[in-house]
Amino acid sequence: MSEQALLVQKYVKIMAKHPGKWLAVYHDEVVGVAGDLDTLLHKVKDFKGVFVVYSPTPEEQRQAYLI
Amino acid sequence: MPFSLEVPIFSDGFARLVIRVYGMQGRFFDLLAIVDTGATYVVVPSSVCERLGLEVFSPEEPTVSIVTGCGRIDVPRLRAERVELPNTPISKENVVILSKDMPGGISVLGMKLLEDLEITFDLKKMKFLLKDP
Repeated sequence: MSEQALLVQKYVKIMAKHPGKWLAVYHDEVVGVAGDLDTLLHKVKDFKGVFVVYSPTPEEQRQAYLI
Repeated sequence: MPFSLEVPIFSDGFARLVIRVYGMQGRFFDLLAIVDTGATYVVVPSSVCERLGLEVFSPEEPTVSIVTGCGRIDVPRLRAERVELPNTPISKENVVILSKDMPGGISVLGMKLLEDLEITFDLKKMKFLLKDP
């Protein structure tokens, strides 16, 4: 598996623990959880190079996209 | 130098890659982006663009008109110092970033970033392949 694939896999595993939340991950640790992105970014403003993502709920994961 | 990577396609039919977007003074964020062959540019949530201090790509054209599933909209067209795929040699400077809050908080990896590469969606094996031949 490629290193990118491992990276994605690692983040997806972390995301699964926080459905419906915005997350910030830094060096494999969750350093922020919030209900919206602005609040999350405020919480992690001192970190450089954070991974930020919204973790969809099971219902949201069933949605289809037209983008 | 030849390069290739393979990532699984998710059950929703999308391939996702981690992208690293650089702004002012070396600031960067990593985001999980959907690979969208129907998208031209990289799309990043507006709050992230603000935190990175991304500036307008071209003052003469501060926005770009894009066609979406819900019609045509004007979106701010910003400049990232660099966008790269971590753990790969894929990296581009002066990249157009569209600042847009997408439903579900998604970021989008449009084709401009991958335009020199060979991409394959193998839906039978549920694999996405990226190759620099």
